[in-house]
Amino acid sequence: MKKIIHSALVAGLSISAALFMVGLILNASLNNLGLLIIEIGIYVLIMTPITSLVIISLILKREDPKFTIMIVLIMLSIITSALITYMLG
Amino acid sequence: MLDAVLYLLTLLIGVLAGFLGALLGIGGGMIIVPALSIYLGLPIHSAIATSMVAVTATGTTGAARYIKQNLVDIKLGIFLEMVTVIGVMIGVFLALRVSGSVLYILFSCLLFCLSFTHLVTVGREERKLIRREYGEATRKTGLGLKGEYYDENLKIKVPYHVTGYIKGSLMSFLAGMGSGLLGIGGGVFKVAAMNLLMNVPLKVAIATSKFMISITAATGSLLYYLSGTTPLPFVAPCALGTMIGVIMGTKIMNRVRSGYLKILLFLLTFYLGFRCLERGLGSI
Repeated sequence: MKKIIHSALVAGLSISAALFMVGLILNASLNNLGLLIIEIGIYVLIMTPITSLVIISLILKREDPKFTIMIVLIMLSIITSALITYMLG
Repeated sequence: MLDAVLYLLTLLIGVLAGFLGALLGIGGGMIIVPALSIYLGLPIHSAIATSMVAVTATGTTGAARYIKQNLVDIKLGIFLEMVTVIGVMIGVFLALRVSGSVLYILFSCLLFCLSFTHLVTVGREERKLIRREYGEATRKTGLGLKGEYYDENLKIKVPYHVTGYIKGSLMSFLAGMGSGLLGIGGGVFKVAAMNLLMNVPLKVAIATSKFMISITAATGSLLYYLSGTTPLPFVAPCALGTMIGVIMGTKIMNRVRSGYLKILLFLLTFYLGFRCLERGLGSI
């Protein structure tokens, strides 16, 4: 399990780091394109740990289902708090 | 030219925050936010938004590196993270009914208690590692979690059995409250909960805390990003800096004596407690 999660995290981090570097370089000359690439980098970075959590839940589903329930609870709490914050502005 | 200097300074701030974050299991927001707002003149909301993305980068990089070193207890992290996120939600609800100064003073008392507990357990940590007391067979409690890691400083395998689930959950709940309401890092509480209350060796507690921080911070980053306060040009160098800092920190964390890490944690927790008390008394 650890190898799969490690690979997923490293892949996400490498992509976002590369996007940040390209974005910074382009930001110096082509302002908008650079910022757009940095934005994509942020999305990739944010999605990396969330994706790893989903992978963990899929792996643990067979091995230890109670942890999958815990991950579902975490996801629900995250979505609820995001929705509340978004609605409250 | 000015932009290049600013980006370089942001990168260096990120490196420092990432390095300390990897050593102590914290996010590093307490370094990034004041540095960006006070020294680089970024508005406080933008500094916090930048810090959230940088903390996501530290958490994720730290988690990846420590998972490779077999230091992260993923199941324990999931269990405590569940309590933490519930703590954040209930904490927000409670905070609307309790005055901010009272919360700050309460948290400062808790932080002072934790800091002194870290100080008085400096010797105990190393003794427990050498005598393998963390792994002494106990009756199965709670989720029955156990594991082992290789301590590169002592050159021994350290087995451990997780205990004290209720006490640890309570502390993680408080970590959620603290990070959500007061803007103080939850890392110090998470490390303390695992190490002082749940019989988890300090280095495993630090690594597992980084894994938990990656999930918590990703949510925060998303919320700040949606609110439109994230200054994009500053985020990139800061996040890249924290990634470099974490890679450096994770290389040496397992080689450092646990006692030294405990002393650093004592200093950090004491400082946070002092800051909380200052804010609490200031807002009365």
